[in-house]
Amino acid sequence: MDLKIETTPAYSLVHFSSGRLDAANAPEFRKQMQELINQGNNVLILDLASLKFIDSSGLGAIVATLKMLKEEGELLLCGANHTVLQLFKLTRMDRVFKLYPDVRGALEALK
Amino acid sequence: MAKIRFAISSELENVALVDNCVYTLIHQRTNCALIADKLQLCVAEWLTNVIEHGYAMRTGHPIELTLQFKGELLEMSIRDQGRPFSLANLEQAYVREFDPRDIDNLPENGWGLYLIKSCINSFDYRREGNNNILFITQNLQQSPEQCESCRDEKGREGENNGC
Repeated sequence: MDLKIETTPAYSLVHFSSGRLDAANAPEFRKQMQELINQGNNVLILDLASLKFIDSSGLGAIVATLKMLKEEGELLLCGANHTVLQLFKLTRMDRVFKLYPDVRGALEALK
Repeated sequence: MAKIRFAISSELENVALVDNCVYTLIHQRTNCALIADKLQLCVAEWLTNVIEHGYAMRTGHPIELTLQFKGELLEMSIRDQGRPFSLANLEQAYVREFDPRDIDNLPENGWGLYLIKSCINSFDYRREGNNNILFITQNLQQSPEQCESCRDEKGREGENNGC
């Protein structure tokens, strides 16, 4: 799973590079998120702008990341295109996640 | 129009090969990202189900998808030789209720059949000899209301959806 991660004292910004989060790579994504959280990063911003496709396994991995963060952490999603947003809406997960149009919007929400 | 046939073996890495082609074919045909998105998702979810549950992740087993356009109708079938599913499970699939504030108990799976059902007009599933076959029929003509609802949303390439 090809992720680019920028870590600052306040947050970690995770960019997807592969264009796809699905059953084939969701386990690897979960593992990388668990490692990031274990290192003490508990505010995560997932930049979904490069994601062209996500299936229910990919969505499950994002939900699992939210659970890993527990109450003291925060997970913000940004940059989702229509395809990705549609899955959140169909599964009603748009009621759970904070979805921002872009990284700037997510960063402003953190302030 | 001639039938288009895809044959893959039962590895999760192969799912994208097929569902990306399905997206491209349907988008070219309809110029509608919404309907192409839905059918791509439907195909990805079903192929993943077949590999994970029908074949229990055993690799090297056949899966075949055929697709045919008949005017505004798309007919698609997906054939495998794994353990069959219950048609009732597909017919009765629904999105589970959950409390969005109860993070610990949020569902992490179980959406697949519901998503398939919600993305297509009609389906049938039956066993013929050693084969399980999912038949899908989809009207590719979007209603004006559906087009209106996605007209201003951005598609996967950052462009409007071509409605």
